[in-house]
Amino acid sequence: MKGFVFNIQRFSINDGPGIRTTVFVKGCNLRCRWCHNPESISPKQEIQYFPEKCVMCGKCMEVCPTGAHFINHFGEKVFDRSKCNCCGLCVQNCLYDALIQVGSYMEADEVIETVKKDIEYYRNSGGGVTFSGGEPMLQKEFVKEVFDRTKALGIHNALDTAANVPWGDLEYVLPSVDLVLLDLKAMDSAVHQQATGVPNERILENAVKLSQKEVDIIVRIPVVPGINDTEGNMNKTAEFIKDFKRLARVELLPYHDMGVDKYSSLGKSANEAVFETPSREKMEKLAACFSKHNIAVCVE
Amino acid sequence: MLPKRIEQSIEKWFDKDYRATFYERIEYLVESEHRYEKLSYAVRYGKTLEYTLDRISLPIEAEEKLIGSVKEIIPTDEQKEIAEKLSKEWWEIAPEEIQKKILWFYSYGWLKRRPPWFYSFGHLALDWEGIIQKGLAGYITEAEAKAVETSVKEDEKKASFIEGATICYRAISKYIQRYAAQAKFEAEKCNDPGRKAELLKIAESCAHISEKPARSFYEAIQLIWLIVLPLMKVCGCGVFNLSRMDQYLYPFFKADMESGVLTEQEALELIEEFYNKNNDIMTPTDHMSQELDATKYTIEVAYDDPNYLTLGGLLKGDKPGVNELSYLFVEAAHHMKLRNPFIVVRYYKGIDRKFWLKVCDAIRDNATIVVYNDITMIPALKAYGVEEEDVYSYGFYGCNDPNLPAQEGGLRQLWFNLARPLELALNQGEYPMAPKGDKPLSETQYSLEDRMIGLMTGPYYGIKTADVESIHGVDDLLELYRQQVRFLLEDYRKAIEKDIALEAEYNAGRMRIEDCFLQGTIDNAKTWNDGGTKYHKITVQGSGLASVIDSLAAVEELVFKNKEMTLKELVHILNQNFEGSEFLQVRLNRKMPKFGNDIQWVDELGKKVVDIFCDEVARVNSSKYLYTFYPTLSSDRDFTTMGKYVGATPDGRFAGDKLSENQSPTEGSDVNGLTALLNSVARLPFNRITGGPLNIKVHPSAVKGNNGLEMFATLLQTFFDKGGLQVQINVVSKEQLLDAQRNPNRYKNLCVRVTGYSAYFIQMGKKAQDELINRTENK
Repeated sequence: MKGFVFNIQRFSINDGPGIRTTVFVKGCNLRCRWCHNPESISPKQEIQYFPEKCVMCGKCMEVCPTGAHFINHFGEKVFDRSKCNCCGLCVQNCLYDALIQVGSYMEADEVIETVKKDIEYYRNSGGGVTFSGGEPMLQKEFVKEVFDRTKALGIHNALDTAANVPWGDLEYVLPSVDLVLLDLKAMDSAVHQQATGVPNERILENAVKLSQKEVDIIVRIPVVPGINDTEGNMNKTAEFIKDFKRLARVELLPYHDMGVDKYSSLGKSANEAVFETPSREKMEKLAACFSKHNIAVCVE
Repeated sequence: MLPKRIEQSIEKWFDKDYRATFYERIEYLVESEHRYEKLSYAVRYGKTLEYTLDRISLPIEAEEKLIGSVKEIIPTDEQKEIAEKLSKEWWEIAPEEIQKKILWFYSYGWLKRRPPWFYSFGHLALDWEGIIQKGLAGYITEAEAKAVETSVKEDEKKASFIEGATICYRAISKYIQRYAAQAKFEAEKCNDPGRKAELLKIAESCAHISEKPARSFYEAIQLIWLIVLPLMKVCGCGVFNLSRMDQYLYPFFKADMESGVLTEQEALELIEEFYNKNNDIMTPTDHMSQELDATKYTIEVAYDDPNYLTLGGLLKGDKPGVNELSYLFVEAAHHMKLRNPFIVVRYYKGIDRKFWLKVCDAIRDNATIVVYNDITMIPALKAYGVEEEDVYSYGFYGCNDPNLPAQEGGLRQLWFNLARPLELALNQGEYPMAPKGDKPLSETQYSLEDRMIGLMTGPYYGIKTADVESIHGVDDLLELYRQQVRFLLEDYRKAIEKDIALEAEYNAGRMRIEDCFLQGTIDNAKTWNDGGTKYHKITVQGSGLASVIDSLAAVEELVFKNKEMTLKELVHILNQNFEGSEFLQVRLNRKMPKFGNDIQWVDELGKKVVDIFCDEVARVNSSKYLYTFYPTLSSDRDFTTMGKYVGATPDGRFAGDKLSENQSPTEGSDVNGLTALLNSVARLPFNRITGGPLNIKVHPSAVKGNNGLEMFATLLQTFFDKGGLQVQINVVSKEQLLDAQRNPNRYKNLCVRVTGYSAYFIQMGKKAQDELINRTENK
């Protein structure tokens, strides 16, 4: 069974408890405006191009079958994506990492081999493996296979999901999941639709069903100024989750602009994705909406 | 919180003129030069020390509770010239003549600052416990008893050593008495009743410890400092292994706490004063950045290396060694973040979590603390003959050498360039940068200078091994590698044994100050270089390991797996230094599997290389030799120098470029994160490796907050439980370091771990700064 993965990050300490390995899968069914992993959205392979790393060695031009790499009449190296068929030959020949292929089809075996390498660190720190993305639930068979096998190895499994999938899909993987990192972006469906491209009814329904299962939940909320950074939204969220029986805590993740540079490397404009970073005071204030309901909350 | 007086003292040090020097010792050396020249070596040594200690100034700084400083001046041009002229007179002689005076001297910079009749290079531990328990009077009694033994009386060499040592004890005792008198004198002048009382107490204590054992925690530290100071500043005997201070001071601490004469806060302040004293006597420069004006100027090279102290670790019978004092020593290091002293915490399985978190917290705040692992160090030391009853005492001195306190003499080392035998193996024993052709091999490949300093410079040739055409896999290449390693180590053993025989003829029995304070020297009436101590060690520091591993991995990948070219063709390209094969060079450099990424087959090549190195070192050890070779994986900062003499290598490294440093992966090639790096390194067989640092740079964001600390502590603990040897960590971002280069004034106290010693970043040379900036940043 193969999955479509774009990164495996080891010594990951912010995606669930302990020291973890986070497997990022590619492809997402939300279109969050602030997305800081734009390379995770498309379910297809993409090529990132970092012109500042290019030394003009000319190898990519030599090997490209479609002429997508060339030097224009200003003497500048150009990557014309409209001609690119993503064959990856240029990437293989770029020795300077100016061209990077995003997304590879990996066997579950391969993923598990990597995950197993840090098993002692998980054991000593209470960590494990996390599936993130993109939306891992769009590759439920792959996720299930990996999780079933890591569970058998005694590894703690965390699933980072926006839960915008049929309930049956979640139910399908849930038996091997120890912890759900549940992303809730906004309580108002219209706001949600405007910010992510989809309404939130199914997500909230799934959230309630998840809360009745024997699985730990951490609710994660990206705080994006002008989108969901109101006390009203946080209060509503708090009301909504306060009775979740295995809610471990809420994590408020302030928007940061570290993903912005990735947009241009993918030939996309980042204009839509730029917001202010919320202040520390603001974050504390929003956190208070949860603590007053006795919900554990932490601000990253 | 650091007491204000110490904080101000540190501030003052940052602004100290690098030319400031303790010139008195040169004046008195000149004055006394001819006075004692007719006496025996050891007696002359003692008299020279006495002459100086009887006369040097005795500064006492305002408010300090721990006394002991020297007077520094900025020498005039004339004085500076005198010092330089003396150096030339003493040491501008043929290497063969130097050798007759001294076997091993580390560098000309060190050598030239002391005359042939009064030298020491430190790099060892005195019997600190003995000093505070017996007092100087105890040593004098022992020496006097020894002097009347028939075997000593009738042996001129022995008799003179014991007489010289006795003069030294008395000289130091008198020096401490003079300090007592000085404190009393200042007390009498003092109008502040609080300070007056303090000074009187200092005077009373110093008078006592000038002869007798320490009675309290304060007196123990004070006595140690008043011995460290003159030994370092007058004799040049520094880079001490202060060894396990949390152990040998503990009985004093405990008794004082129980009787109520000491509080934890007072103990902490004394430790902080002690640290400050160590830092304060240094020249504000990075001594390893030779290109700096400050480093070039200094006429006091010996004091710009730090002292090393050891905390934690197991006690005999595998009992845990962490105690309340260990906490205080770590806390002081965390408060101060100084260059000196350099602190080694010894990890052991099951170390107290609270202590471990405290250590990791100090490390992530860039305190000068590194960690060594008892789990591997204890068996490794035993593998080279250290006995069970002694092994638990081990500590370190600079830069990365293990040391059994008081049981062995000073530093002797060979940086064994691991890349050289690889080059020889690829070229049938020939050295392509300066081919020897058909000329026969000379008697030894190690020039006299290489033996005396320890760096393998210039051409080295090997024995003729099989042509690479005849080999079919990387294991065959490793077999050729083994033959070349064996050849070079056997050669070194033979050459150094001749030197040691020469030393016995010319040098042995020439007392150095440390001989007065080691175990066995007085008892046997033999100096350490004459075999007086129990152990005798030469560290053989394997250097350039990752360059070798990456080269083997590239050969495996390109030649044996992908079959893109023959090994013969690759060797030809290397010998052209990649000329005409530029694309291949970049590919080898950037796109081959590299050590440090948790790639099992690559790491296993590393294990094989280290096993070969250890096997072959063990092969040239024998009970018939006085000196045992102890292998380490430590290049210090000399990987640049060593690289100059190695041609292009299969890892895409150009001829003459630097090698990889210490245990670390090649600069910037570890890209799979911290756990991957640590897993790779932990695969090396450290049970036979007795030292060497692993440099890691961590981005501050990866260790922030409580969770960051917990995870960081668990990460390192897991690494050590898996069999890692050492870590030294800088928690600093590339941006911060670049900013520090641009705005040095804002970063004057940014202290960084270099390669077994620390430096203030802005005091380092640009090259050393850039090396640090280019290390992989782990987020």
